[in-house]
Amino acid sequence: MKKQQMLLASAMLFCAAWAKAQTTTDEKETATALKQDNAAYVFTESQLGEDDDMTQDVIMVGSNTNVYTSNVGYLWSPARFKYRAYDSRYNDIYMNGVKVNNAENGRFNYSTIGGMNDAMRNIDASSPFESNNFSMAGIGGSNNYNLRASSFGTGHKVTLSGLNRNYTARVMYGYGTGLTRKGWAFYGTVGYRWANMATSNVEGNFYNSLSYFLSAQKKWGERHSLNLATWGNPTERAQQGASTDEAYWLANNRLYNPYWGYQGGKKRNSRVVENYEPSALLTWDFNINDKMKLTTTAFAKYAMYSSTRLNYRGQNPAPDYWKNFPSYNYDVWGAGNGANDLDAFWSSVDYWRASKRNRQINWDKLYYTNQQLNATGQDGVYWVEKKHNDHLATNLGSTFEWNTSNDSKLAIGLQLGSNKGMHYLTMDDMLGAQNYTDINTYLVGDYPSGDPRIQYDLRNPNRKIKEGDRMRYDYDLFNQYTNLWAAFTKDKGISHNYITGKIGGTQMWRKGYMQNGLCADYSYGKSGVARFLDGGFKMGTNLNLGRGNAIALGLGYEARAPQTYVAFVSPEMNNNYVDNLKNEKIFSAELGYALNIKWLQLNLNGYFTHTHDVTEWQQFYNDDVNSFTYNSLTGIAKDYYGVELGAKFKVTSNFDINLMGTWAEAKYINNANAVYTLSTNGVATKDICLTEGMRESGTPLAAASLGFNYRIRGWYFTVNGNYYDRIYLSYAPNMRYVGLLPTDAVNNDGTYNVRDQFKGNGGFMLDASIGHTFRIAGHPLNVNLMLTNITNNRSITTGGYEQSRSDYSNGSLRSYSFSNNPKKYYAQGFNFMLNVDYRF
Amino acid sequence: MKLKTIFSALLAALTFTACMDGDWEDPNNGIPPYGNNSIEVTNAVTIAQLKQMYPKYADTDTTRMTQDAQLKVFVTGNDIQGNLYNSIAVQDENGDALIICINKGSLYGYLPVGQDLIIDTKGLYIGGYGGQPQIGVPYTNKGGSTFPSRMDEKKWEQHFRLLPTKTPVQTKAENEADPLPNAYVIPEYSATEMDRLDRLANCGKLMTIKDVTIKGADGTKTWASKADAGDYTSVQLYFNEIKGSNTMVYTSTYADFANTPIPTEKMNLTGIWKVYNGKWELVLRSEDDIKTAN
Repeated sequence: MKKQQMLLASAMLFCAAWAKAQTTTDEKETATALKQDNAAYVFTESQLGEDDDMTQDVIMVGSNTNVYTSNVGYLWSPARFKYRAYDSRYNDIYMNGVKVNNAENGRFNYSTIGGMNDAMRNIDASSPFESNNFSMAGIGGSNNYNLRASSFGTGHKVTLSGLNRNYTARVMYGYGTGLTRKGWAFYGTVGYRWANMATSNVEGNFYNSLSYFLSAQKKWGERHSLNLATWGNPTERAQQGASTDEAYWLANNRLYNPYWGYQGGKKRNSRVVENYEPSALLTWDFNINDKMKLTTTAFAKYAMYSSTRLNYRGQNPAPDYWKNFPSYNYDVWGAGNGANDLDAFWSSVDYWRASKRNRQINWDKLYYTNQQLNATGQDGVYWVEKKHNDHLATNLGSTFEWNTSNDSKLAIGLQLGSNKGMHYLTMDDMLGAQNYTDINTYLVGDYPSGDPRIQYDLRNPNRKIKEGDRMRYDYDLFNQYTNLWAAFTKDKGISHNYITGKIGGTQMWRKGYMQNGLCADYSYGKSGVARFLDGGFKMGTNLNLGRGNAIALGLGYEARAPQTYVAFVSPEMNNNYVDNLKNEKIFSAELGYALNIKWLQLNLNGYFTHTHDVTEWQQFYNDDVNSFTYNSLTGIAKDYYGVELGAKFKVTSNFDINLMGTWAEAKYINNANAVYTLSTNGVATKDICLTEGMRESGTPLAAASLGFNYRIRGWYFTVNGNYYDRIYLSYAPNMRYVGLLPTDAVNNDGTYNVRDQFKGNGGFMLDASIGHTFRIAGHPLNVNLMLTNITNNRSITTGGYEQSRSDYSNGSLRSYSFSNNPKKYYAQGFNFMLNVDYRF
Repeated sequence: MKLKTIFSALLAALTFTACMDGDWEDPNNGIPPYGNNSIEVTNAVTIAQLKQMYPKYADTDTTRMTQDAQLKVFVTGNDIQGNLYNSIAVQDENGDALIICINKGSLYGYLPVGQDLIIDTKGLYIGGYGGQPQIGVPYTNKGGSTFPSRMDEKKWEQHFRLLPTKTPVQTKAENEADPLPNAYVIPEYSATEMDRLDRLANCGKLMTIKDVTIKGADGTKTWASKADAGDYTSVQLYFNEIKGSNTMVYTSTYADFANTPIPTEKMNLTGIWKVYNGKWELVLRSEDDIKTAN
């Protein structure tokens, strides 16, 4: 029998054969199985936030007690909805009780647990004002994953998925033993996700990811248990770049991807991410007695993340470089910039449209150019470089839980963490060139030839670079933290009350391995150490008013150490810290009402969060000055507030109607202190950035959904209509520096006339799914088809950014209007996912 | 059996996960991916003949070239160090020269000095910028003057074909030491000779001025500092050996050698000699064009 089952599983793996339907009346099982694939812990690509180097980030909140928070993550993921528009560093992630957020940027990279869905199903999810026994929850909520082998189900499970998104096919296999009589438990899962350039939803992309998760547990008697878990998902994938509406119009495709091109007739993408973060957890559970429990977990991870980029000396070879656009030749905006060559405009339009080859990277030209330069011994002018953000993390979390009485509970915990972030750039592909010298060529004209300031590393002047060599910058960022927390909950009468608090210390420093010529005295070696004392508290109460009515009130205050990631002005160049680097202060409050009666489950929440002394950091290439620019914004204050509604109407026993909605505000309420440094001069310039009124970007700030769920005879149908609005694009700080504003942007009364932040398009999206559980050889076979964006609405913006380049050149309007051409991403049109899983 | 199957599946998965962004090979096989390889020479003309066909070639205006005519030329100057910006200088086998204006950086990569190419002139414009004959597309400046300026890269791509050959470009000394067949030997003139040279006949050529010093050179003064440029992006320097201000070195503040000090000793300076409203402008192509005179 077992052999037959294995054969069946194998057949599914390779043939995806359809099994004959066997109707079951076990609706509950079907609903449960399908619900699992719709729940917050099933990751969609847009939830994963895969790019460390992009602004996109993810929060997953999945408190099961709240209709809104338990559905919002998955339901609105096609529009890249971010919970309360928070940065994901406010979402604290724990595994077996140890905090696993990247200590350098505060974020948890969800893509590192992609492809192992079944291993990450056991979550203790806590919304921001929910008491829990593993932490003081972040304002973006906290999740604690239980990775103990005994917590997984027994038996085999094979999952096959076919879809037309980032990847095309997914195969997963999992097996769990459950806890054996000898006290052992094992669980393992392996998965593979794949798409090539012919099948990916975005042309020029591919996806190649293997996932594994292994967990082994041994219990001794009733009190002790030791669990070792390890996982990783070596992934290689190509990226899509945002582009302008003009490019989308010319390509007649809102998923146009400027990052790829033809090389010798084959498609090649210039942006390839490689990510592998092998991780391990060792957990000791000690049940001291019936009322006391000690959980201690050690965590180690060595993360390797790299992304490639086509770089150049001279003119940018990107197909959507501004000079390549028709509007470079003709003033379509009536801006008065004098560009008036209508023939050239249409000639450029024709060129873009004539052939796909014309609107992609021409790798052949890049090779040819470099080869010509070889003949005279000159450096290549095009190359592919690889940016590495590796890190080694070792963390320890220990929690003591004590049921002090029948209605009260105390938890005390300690979190220790040490992180070494390794940041460097390597030469990935010289594109046929034989020579490359690691000097700052942007400076060559600014200093006499031979001047030491043009050297990226004075210890290796004029270093000749070959493929694989480190270049331009090489440094580590260190972060160490200690955190002691406690939580006390007590039920009294109709109230459930809690108070949590934490106190800790964080220290950080940088260590440079290159002596930058512009910062010769403060780039190589160890920086000073910055230390911060941080902490905070949260308290709240839930009042059960009877007849299914309850209200909840919570408030908290927290001082958080700044992320190491934002602590340095220009970490690629030197050891200088941002001026006035301070703890970020966060005040948050929430008021909620819940109604849970026979035919209705309703949650209505209002929240308010105020942050100040926030530090942010960005780097980007600034064509205006032919230089990378490192931008620090300090002293930022922001307000986040809004209302959230989730309602589930149980019309009949097998028919529900879900209503969800939110209206949120997430904006800067002051102007920030700015310091920016150009990589071409190393000088830090102070300014004021007009951030007041800017909003958090890349997420709908307003969304509503109406859904219908119907179950009958083992079948499960859902239809959701979702509406998204108030989607903002990321603002460009340097376009709002007071010192860099054009003279006509300063009003007579001294106020400033700056452009409003760009908004993207909102819109309506219709999603549906249908599922059924069949019985094969007495075991469940779940089939689920999810259809997203059925009405094929391709005009919804999911994110993007203003170009960080001015419309002016030497005081005159340029021929191309950057201010009217933000770069955007659009939601994918109709897409689907067919999921089949078989348990045996 | 169970373990064997699991391991087989794992092995299959690992096989599938072979790297997808593999090693990439040289894609070109010697065929230039730049230009229009379908251009055929149906009516080969020299630069002198082209000027006869379009007699307003040096006027401050533009003439659309409507006749089938192809030039065979070689590159004498490019943007290798950012001083000759968005243009190349070309000469034909008779030594006549033209400036081609192209709206693109890094031209020196595929248009190195000596590169032979065919230019299909039909459909492009010829005219003078301050008297300097140029090929490009019409541009009218704020003062109302129209002249040929930088053509769109795509337009340029339609009008040239790279040839597999190169014309050697040698200094006189190099040629004496090791003469190469069909080489262009850079003419050398003293300061006085250069000042008196027929500008219309010789403008755009690659030539050397010998034994000169720069006025104001003191060991620290640079070729084109931003301070000297003021509101402009170029600096004009004059020769001690030539009276007046009709012959100059014209250097962009964006040139790689803009902030390199000017030698105080006698120099031989090589570059593209352009005319602007009757004045001689020497545009050095790179720091290598600055040689100490023996």
